[in-house]
Amino acid sequence: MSKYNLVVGFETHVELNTKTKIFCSCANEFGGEPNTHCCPICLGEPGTLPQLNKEVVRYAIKAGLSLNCKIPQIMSMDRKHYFYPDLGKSYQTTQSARPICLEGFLTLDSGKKIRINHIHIEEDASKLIHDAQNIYIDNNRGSTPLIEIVTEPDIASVEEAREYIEKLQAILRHIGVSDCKMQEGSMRCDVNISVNKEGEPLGTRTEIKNMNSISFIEKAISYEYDRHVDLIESGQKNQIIQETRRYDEKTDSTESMREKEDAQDYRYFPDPDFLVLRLDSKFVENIKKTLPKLPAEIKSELIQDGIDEKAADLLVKYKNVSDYYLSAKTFGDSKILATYILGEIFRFLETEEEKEQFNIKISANDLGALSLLQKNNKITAHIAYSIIPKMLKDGNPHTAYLTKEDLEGFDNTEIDKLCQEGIAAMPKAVEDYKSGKEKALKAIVGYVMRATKGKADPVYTENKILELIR
Amino acid sequence: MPNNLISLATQLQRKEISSVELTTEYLKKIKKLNKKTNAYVFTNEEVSLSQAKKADQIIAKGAPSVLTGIPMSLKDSIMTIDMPTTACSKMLAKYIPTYNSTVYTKLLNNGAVLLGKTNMDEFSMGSSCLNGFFGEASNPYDTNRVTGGSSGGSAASIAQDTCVYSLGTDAGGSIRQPASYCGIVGFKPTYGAVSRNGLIALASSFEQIGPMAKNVGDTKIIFNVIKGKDEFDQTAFEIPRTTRQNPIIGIDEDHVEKTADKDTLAVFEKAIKACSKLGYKTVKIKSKYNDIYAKLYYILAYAEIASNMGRYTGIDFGYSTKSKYIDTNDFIKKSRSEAFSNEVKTRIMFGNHMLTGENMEKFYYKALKMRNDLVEDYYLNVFSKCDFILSPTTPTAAFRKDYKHESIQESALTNIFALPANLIGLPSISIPFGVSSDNMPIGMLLTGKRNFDNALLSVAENFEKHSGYKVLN
Repeated sequence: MSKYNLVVGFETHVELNTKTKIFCSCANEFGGEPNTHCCPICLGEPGTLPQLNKEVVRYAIKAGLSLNCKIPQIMSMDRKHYFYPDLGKSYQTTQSARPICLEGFLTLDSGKKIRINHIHIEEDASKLIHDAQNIYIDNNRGSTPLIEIVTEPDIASVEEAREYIEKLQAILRHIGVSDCKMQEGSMRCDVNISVNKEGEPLGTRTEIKNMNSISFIEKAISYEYDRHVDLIESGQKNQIIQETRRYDEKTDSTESMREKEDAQDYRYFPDPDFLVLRLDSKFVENIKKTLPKLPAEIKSELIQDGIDEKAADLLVKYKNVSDYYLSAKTFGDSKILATYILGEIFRFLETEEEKEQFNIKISANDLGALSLLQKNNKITAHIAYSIIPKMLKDGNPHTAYLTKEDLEGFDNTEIDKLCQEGIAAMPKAVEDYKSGKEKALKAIVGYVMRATKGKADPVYTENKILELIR
Repeated sequence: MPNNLISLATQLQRKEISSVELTTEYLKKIKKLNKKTNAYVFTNEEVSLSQAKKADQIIAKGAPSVLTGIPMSLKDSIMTIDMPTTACSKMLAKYIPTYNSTVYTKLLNNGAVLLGKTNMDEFSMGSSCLNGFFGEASNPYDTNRVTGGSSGGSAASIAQDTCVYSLGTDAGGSIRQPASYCGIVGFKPTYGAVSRNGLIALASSFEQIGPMAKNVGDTKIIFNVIKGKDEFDQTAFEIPRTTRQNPIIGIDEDHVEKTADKDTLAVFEKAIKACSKLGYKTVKIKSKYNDIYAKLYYILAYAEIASNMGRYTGIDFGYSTKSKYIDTNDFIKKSRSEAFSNEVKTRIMFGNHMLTGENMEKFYYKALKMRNDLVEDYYLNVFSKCDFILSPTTPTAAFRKDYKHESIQESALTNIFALPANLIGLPSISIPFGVSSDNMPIGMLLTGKRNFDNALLSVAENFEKHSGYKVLN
């Protein structure tokens, strides 16, 4: 173990999936022909004024409430100035003095709380496309709504960093405010990193901007940690300067962006085109009422249902999976359904993207019904597992694949007979059981199961055997 | 005054004259008189006549509003798809608007006829109308004198009767001061009473679009058409209907006497006498902020100006440099340097300076706090005693074009009475009330509480009846 602590804070930009942009009625859609989703307002033409999208306010408050934030009574908008072709007005409308959400936290599995300093709303910049000679501007992304979630420097390991981002994604997807696709840029992280020794003040931090993959974030943090520690150990502590760095995935290293970022004065001041907005407590209460159960809550319920923690984590990780599972659960058996989804169905959905979308041909209702058949010993797990892939492929209900024989089961007199046969055939097992080896009974149950090709009810069989040998 | 809105509307609706005839007459007059004043920077006969034709059809159908068929002008910072909108800047000299301002849309919906766009100080930065890219405007009563500004072209266009009314904009007296200099009525409504959508922004938290006309009655009609909340401006709202019986008029005599010249004081005395004729009680008022209006304005308004002017980079619209450039920054720098006048550059630099580094706390936020204190002071100490404040609009009549203000403080003085309304968001109206010893118009200013626009206009209408001002020729 190193004697240096890692200290990490996140600034995460999340694109909200409201129907329209933040200040006008243009469509808020990813992609599209360049410059087809824009109007005089989001282009910043002279004389235009912003109209704050109420949905954006709602979404941001949803996010804040889900991250245990306080919603202050008033919020205001500010202007952040800089000249760059991606910013038509030469200022970004954002929040600085009075953001929409304050002081929240996200709880990791260990129980540790990562404090959220604040969440603010702002507009995204346009997209620039560079070629050898020119810069092209695509204004479709210009003025799309973002929230920025700013943590305190509470993250102390690469693992915690990953968990923070994954949990954040799960929460924001659950409440439906963003798809949080890092690869498409709808979630982007600026990561602040410093190191210090226990009990000493925080070290100088460096910031790695615009990270768009969790594994790159992990690598970048590791690299920066080693770089800081190496510099300190070799007596070059003063070489760690507060700066913005870029992570290069090809070389797996970070490099200085050599921009005078911190010297830049953004001249934040209140945007006079906005009134100070009062966030009525009733308005906030009404938003609270619309919030679905959050992943952590669902997870703890699943654990109470008897689902193990790892499975529960996977079931709540993807919003659509969780929704599907919770719906199927109302028609069927929760434990059995978990094995279906995390087993056969996840095997079928290979990529993260596919799991995220969870676009499958089996209705929650039908899968629930299948789990009940298994639970009531009408069919065995083996049969269920064998037909799920067919259902996924063809989209027919489970009834289409179950033969009469599958569903017949065995009548109990036949099973009683087989139990007696088993006891007679395995005297050693009976002896072992009587001398205290409870597991020995399983061998006789297994005998009956084999004889019935798995169609016997294992619970009934075990009870019958017990009855017979007592 | 002849050719006022109501008398012309009556003639149009009685079909004694058609809008096309009226418009043609006005276009002829513009051709003849514009050389003298340069009040108009753009006209388009085709557009005006086609709007007039449309108006005549509406009148024929018998469904006109008072404004139907009446020719008017608009300050060149108000967006009109039909004619250029340049804010009289080289930056936007070739700019083609992509949308209509809310006020223009409302006027069009009422059958108005646009004669042209009027001269102004570049981006509304000035009080003389000498700072525009398309040349100086001249006062119709003495072409050696200024019209005032920044809405000087609008004031002159009405004063010389080359239109019936106009819309100007007022961030620090820019409607009322030229109205006073040119002998017409100019009204700055309560902040937010009229949508700013489509107004090329100067200082967003200070400015309002407002009517300029030949009398208070006309002003009232136009205001009632253009006011109201607007989905495109979230600072715009619906002002309540207000009246005030037996209003009390507040007068800060010391302040006026210290600032105004002899001629202006003489007219002011007549205005005070008018109060007693009208049966209005007068009370003495005093604001402890009289000396800092201009300072607050410079700091806060110029900061907003610097920010609002950022969008003119030459990239998406407006003037782009033709000279060689190294990179984007260089391109932006060159485009701005070549297109902006020194006045504009000065204000941008001053404003940015106020927002930079420690100045932010030292000046900007301090001024912002004082602006709030000023609002509080007005409501606690001034409007607790009176309903309306009476003062001259400006300390003097129109100054000569070659007059050089000795300092920025002195030039700010022309708007010393007008500024509180912009700092506080109050409705304020200038009414022509008399003339100077050399026969230049002098206006009086009535300012009311926020939202009391209707009450203010009614009181102003009564005042107007006692005005000693006669239309000059």
